Amino acid sequence: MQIDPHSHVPIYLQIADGVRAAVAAGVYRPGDALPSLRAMAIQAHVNPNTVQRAYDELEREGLIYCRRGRGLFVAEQGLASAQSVTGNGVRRALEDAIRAGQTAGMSANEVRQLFTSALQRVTQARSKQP
Amino acid sequence: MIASTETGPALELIGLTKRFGRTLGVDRLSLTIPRGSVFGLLGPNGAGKSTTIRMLMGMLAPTDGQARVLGIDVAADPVEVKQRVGYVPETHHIYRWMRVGEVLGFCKSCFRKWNDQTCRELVELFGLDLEKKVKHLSKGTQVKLALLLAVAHEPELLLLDEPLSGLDPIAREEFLDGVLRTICERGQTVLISSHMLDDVRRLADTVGFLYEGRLLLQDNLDTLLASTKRISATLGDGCRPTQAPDGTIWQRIEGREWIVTLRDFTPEKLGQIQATQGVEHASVIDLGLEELFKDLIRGQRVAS
Amino acid sequence: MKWLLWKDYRHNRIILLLGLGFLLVPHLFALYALHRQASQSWGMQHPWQYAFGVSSYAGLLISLLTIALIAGSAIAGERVDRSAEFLASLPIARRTIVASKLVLVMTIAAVIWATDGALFGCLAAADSPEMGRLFPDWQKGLAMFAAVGLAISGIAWLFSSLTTSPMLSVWAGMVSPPAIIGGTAYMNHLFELRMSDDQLGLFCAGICLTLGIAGFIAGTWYYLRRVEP
Repeated sequence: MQIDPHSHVPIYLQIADGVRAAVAAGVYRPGDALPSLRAMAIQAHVNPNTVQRAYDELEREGLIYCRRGRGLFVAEQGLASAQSVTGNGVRRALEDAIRAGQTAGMSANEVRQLFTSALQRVTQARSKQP
Repeated sequence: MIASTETGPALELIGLTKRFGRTLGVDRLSLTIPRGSVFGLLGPNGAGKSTTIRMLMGMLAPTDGQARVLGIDVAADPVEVKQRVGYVPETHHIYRWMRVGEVLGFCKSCFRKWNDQTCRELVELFGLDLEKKVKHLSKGTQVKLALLLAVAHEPELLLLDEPLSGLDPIAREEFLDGVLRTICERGQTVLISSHMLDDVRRLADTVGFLYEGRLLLQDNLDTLLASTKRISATLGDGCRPTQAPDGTIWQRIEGREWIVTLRDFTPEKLGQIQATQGVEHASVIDLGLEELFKDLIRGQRVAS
Repeated sequence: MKWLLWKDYRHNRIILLLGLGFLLVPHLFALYALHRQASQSWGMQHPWQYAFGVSSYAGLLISLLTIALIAGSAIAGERVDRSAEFLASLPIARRTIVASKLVLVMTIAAVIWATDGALFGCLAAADSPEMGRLFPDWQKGLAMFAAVGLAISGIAWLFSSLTTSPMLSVWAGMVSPPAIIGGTAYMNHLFELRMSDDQLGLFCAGICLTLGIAGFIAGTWYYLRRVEP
C-alpha cells in the first residue's frame, strides 16, 4: 500500500482507494480477511487512526464488514461495490478534466473531441496488449 | 507521588512564555493535546518549538505561564514528568564513553517502569551492539538508541524534537516505524516537532503551527487540508482588488493573477472573490501540507 | 544511586588516575633517591623517614591540584560536553545528582588525607631531628593544608556550579589561596595592622576555611535552585 503524502487526497481516502482497487483487481476476494488495523498502519507507514477512518468509510460503503473479535472481511457484494465506487471516481476525474479544459477556455465541442480521441487511443492501445 | 489524571489531557499549556533577554522565544502559548492523539508541531526554524519542548521536560524555566504534562505541573514536579514521558531530543548527548549496554543499565536504574522485553526487541530490531561505545555509533544508530530509551520505560507521552534531522531515508523509516509500533500497541500520545512534512502528514492527526513563539493555528490535519484552499483569480487590466475575504492566510498579485490562500473555505467566499471588482475568473486549488506551511509563513512575514 | 556514583567515577576517571599518579610518583622518587643513596644514607639516622616524609608532603602539595580538578570538573565537566542535558532528561532529582558529585569530591579528599596525610603525620610525629628541622610546626602545616585544600575545592566547586567551564573553575580554585594570602598581607600592610606571622597564618587559614565551606554551600544551593542542566 503506497501512500503519497504529497497528494492532495486525504490519506484515509488513499487507503480506502487502495483497498477498493485491490478488491476490484481480485487481490482480496469476498470472504477474505483484511489486514488488521495495526498491520495496515505499519505497512502503509501511517497513523492507525487514519486506517480506522479508511476502514470505517469502506464499511459504510458496504465493501467490508466487521465480525466481532475476528476482524474485517470483504463483503459478498464487495466486488460490485468496489466497481461502482471506482466508477464514481472515474466520473469525478472526467469532471475535473472538463473543468480544467473550460478554465483554459475550451468549448464543450473541443472537450468532447479531445475525449473521443483519447478514448480511441486508450482502447486501441489496450487491444494491442496480449 | 503526585497523582495524574488518567482521563485528562496529555498536555496543557497555559500562557507559556519564555523570554531570552529582549527576545520572546515563546509567546503566551496555550495548547491542549488530548490523550491518544499524535500532534505535529510545525513551524520555521527559531519558531520556539524546541524551547517549548524543553520547558515541557522541565529542562528550561518558563518566564511566565504554566505547563501541565499528564496532569502534573512541570515546575512543581519535573522528576515525575520525566518518569512518565519519553523524550527524544534534537541533538544527542548520551555519555560518549559509555557502552550501549551500560547506557541501558544506567537508564533502567532511573525508571520505575522498564520493559525488558520491549528493550530486548528494540535492541534486536535496531541492530544495536551492546558492547559498542556511544561515540562509535553512527548518527542513525544514536537516534535509534535515543528512541529505545524513550519508549522502553512505557511512557504515557512521547516528545520528539526534530528526531529525524540528519537521518538517511532508511533510518528515518526505521525510526518512524518504531514510533508507529508504540502508537499501535499502546495508544501512545505523541508530540512530534519536525520539518519532514511528509512524515508529519503520515503520522499526525492534529497539527499546531508556531511562528515567532506564537501559535498561529491548531487543527485536525485532514480538516485543515480539506478546508484550506488556494484561489487563483484572473484580474482585468489595471484592476487591483481592495479586500480579501475572512480567513485569508496570504495573498499576492502576479501580473494578472490574484492568488489567495484561504482558511475555512466556503463556496460563499469563492463567490465573494468572484464578485470582487475586476475579477474575470476564479478557480480553486487544493493545497498540500508543504504549500500550506510556506503560505502561512509568507503571510506572517507580510503582516509583520 | 549506585549507577550514578559509577557514572561520576567513570566520567572523571582521567582526573582520578592523575590524582593517583600524583600520590604515587613522589614516593617513587623517594624510593629511587633512597636506592641511589643506600650506602651513605645521607648521614641520617632515619633516611627512610626523611625520604617518605618529604614525598608525602610533596604528594599532599600536588594533590591540591587533584582536588581542584575534581571539584572544578564535577558539575561544569558535564556541561561542557553537554552530557548534563542527557542527565537532565532522566527522572533523577537534582539533589541526588549533586549528592553523588559531592560524595566523589569528598571521597577523593578523604583518600588523599588517609594516605599521604596520615603518612606525613605519622612520620612527622615520630620525633626525628631531620624531620623536626625540615618541618617545624608540622601540625600547623597540616592544618593549613586542610584549610587551603578546602578553599581550593570550595571555590572550584562554586565556579563549577555557576559556569560551563571546568578550566575556569579549576583556575579559580587554584588561585584562591594565593589571592587570600596576598590579600591578607596587603590589608595588613595597608592598614598597618602589624600582625605577627602566626596571626597572619591563623587569619588566612580562617578565611580559607570560611570561603571553602561557603563555596560548597553556595555552589550546591545554586545548583539545586537552577532549572537548566
